[in-house]
Amino acid sequence: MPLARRIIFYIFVVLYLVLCPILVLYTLGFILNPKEGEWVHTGLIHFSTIPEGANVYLGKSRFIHFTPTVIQELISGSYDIAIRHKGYKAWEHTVWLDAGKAIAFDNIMLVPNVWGSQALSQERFSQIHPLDGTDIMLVCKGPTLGECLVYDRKKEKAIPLLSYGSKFYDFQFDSVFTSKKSHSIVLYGGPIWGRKYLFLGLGNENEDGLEITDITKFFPARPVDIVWESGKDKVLFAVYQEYINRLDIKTGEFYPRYVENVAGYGLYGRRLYYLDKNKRIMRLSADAQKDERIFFRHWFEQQKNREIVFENYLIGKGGRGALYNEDSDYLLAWTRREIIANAQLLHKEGIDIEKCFWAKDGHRVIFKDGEMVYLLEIEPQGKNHVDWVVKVKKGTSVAYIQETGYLYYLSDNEGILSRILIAPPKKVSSQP
Amino acid sequence: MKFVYSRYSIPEKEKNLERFLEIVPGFLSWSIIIGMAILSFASPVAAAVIMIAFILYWVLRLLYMNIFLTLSYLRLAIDKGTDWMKCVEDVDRRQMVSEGWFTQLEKKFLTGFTQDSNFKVRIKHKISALIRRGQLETLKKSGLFPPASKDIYHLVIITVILEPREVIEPGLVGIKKGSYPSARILVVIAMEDSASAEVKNDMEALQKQYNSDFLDCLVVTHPNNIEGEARVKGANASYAARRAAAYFAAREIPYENIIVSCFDADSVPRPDYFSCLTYHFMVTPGRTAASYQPIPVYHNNIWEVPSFARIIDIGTSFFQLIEATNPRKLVTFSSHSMSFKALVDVGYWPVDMISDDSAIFWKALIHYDGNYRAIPMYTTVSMDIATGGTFFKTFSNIYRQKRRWAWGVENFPIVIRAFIKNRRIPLYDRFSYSCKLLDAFVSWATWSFLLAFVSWLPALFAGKEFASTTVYYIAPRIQGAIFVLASFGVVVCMIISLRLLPKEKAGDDLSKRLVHVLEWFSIPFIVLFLSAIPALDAQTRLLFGRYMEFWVTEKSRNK
Repeated sequence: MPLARRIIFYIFVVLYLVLCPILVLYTLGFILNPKEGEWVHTGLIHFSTIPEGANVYLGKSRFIHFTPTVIQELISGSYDIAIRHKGYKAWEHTVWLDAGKAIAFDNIMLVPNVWGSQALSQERFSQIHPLDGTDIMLVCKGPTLGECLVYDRKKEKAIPLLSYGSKFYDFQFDSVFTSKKSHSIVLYGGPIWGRKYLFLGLGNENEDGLEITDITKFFPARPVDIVWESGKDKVLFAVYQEYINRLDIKTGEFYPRYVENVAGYGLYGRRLYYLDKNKRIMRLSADAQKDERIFFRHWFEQQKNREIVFENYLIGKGGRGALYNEDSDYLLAWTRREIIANAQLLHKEGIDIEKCFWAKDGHRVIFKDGEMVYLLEIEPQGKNHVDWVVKVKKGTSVAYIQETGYLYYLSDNEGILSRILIAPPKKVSSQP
Repeated sequence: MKFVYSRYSIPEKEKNLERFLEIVPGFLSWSIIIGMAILSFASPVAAAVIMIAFILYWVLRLLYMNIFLTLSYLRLAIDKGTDWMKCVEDVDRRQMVSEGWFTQLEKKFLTGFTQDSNFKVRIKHKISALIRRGQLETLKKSGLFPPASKDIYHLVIITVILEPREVIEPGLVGIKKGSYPSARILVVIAMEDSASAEVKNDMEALQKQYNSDFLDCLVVTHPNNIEGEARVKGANASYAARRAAAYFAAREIPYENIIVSCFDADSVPRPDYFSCLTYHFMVTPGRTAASYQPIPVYHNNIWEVPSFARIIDIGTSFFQLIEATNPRKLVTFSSHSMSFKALVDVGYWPVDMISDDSAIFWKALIHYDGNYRAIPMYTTVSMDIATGGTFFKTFSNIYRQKRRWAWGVENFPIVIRAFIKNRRIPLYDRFSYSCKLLDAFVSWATWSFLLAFVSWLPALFAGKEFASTTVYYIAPRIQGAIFVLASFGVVVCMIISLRLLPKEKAGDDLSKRLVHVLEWFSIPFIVLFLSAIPALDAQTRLLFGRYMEFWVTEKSRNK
């Protein structure tokens, strides 16, 4: 037995000494080229698609496995990749692969040949006002409040905003101000001789019906924008060119010129942040008595939730909006013609980009350019893919709900409230 | 070499070395676990590559151990059918025949002891005969012939603290009904003075009942608070052994002819244990400088405990089966036997250490300057699986028991100090024993953590940089493939554990066997929580100098 044990021991030692370096080298991407008898450093490409089960082509050769899959042992160089799936448009891309590196194309959203649109109502509407971050949106057949309905996307039901004969039933509005995650809206409109600002608390219906408050007295001039204080539906900031007013609808308190010399603003954690004329980031203290200057990067690194967005930061460059995604750590910003993420230009061929949304893990963007809605996929390398989704009614807005993956819009010409499933909610893991 | 095998009563200059060596195992274990975790964060590529190398090493070692587990089990199966008393008589008879005795014996062995019509049985006997032949040839070459078996006596020490009669009695019955004449066995029930009156009465009753079945049956009460002693089993056993030594001296029975077996209260030796032990004692040339290690099994209450308890103790049996295939490095564990002369020479068991079972081996090895070994015996001693009545109590009791076993790490600093001093032990032996000792404890504490947690930490901490390397994608696939290979090892363990189950308890109950197979899928969790963590716990205590008190394993019998 001792002799047998020793022999077996040495066999295993030799086995380990031979296998271990081979495995380690293989893990690092090295393979043995039997013809030349030398080790070649290779890379790999990982693919996952939505939906799964697509064919992968490298050049003209089809890979034997379906997505999600990994193609290993690729020598460094340029590869033409195509992914094809029945019922979907081909996805094509050219990529350069370095030795020892891996390129991951995660959750490639294959674009269907025909987007399946679903009509939610047979009525025709002229405008849609989404309340981002909520389950409801305002859909209107005409310019008056009486012609508006509140559509609840979860219940898939639309109910009239006001009952016939209500005080503001015939109120004609032309501007709507909303805020993320708030069920309240501010409308501006009315006859020329008596323009009004109306505050509507859509989630605050009482036995007398919808709560509507005339807040005109708080607006000496027309603001550029109105934003809500975080977590407080009735505390608003009216943003003007160079100053911000604060108003509390509940208590009636009004703070004119709450902050002055403002170039941009944002809200985070009940504090107001703004850019002063010198483009310094300032924060108003809790008692609004003094301004504190903060260092941007340092402050951002300290915060776990980086939702604050300086929407007007790009005002000098014609910035129209900005949106941060925690999953991908991308800060998206857009102008009329360009979409930028973390200073990287994603798309530059826009005409009139109004709105952008993050879709699915922060690696794709849905944006509305004029009457068209597009899906932009951010690729790890090479040109980003942009695919057309739908044409919407001219002059109307769209809403995208990330949790469900649905895009809500008014159909072109007819104005029927519809939705398209763009990004299914099921997550395909990129973990190997 | 004269060496004080203790961490107490040592020269001042050695205390620092002792303390330093106490820190080493725990420090190494924690360094490995924490170091790999930090590396996974700081350099995920390096960590992933190291884990690949480790997991490959682990699976090869697993397969390596499986080979010897299988061989050892086969040996156990072969020796199970051996008539040891006949073997003893055959060794005896060499005194009555001429030089041609071995030749005649060889012929007899080659034809086998039996003409059994069963092929399997015949093969087993043939193999057994070949093994005996090899042992007898070794004995013949040494020229160190044993005493006649009629002159060989057995001393069985059973330590008792709070075990009731129904725990002790099956062991006594097992000894009495064994194939070896019980009239040559002295049984000493070593009882603590702190035992309850009920226990004391039980032991007295047992002594009266079984006294006539043995050479003698003594009850020795170990007084409390003897200076220099800790509350440990070794102190109790040593006290009883001293009394036994006086007993034998009074009857002029030489210590060279006595074999002592130190059993736990719940130990039930197989019927052939003492005949097997006697045979091995007789055929071992250096019989008075040797311990005799059986295979411990935990069959007394195997079906009365939760599955995790069953699996972990079957693993212990497996470990001893594997160790038995390497007698050069075998260390004694739990219930075992040794030459009484050796025990007296080395000064009995340590009276201030918990791990007396392994400590006595090291003590003897050092005393005899490396000329001491443990002889594996392919017979079993059955014990209880620690239990507690409820699931959580049983879990707690097993955890504490395993931690006590892992406290065997307390031997490490003492052994190393002895090795530094004792230059008579060959350097190679000192080095290999030291490495094996350290490796055993560190791997016991760390492997489960590395496999369960560290292997996937690089992917968890993967930043964009790591996620863009081939390692990020290939490493998990390789690990997965290796784990699949490891599952073959688990299958082997399942099969052997099924074969090892006591048939008289499981019988032909298929559902029990099926459940037992499925239990093995929980092995990763069981090993982590009831093996690795207790081991790390014990090493950490030693690292911080928080020496453990002896905790008595709760044992009981269903009435």
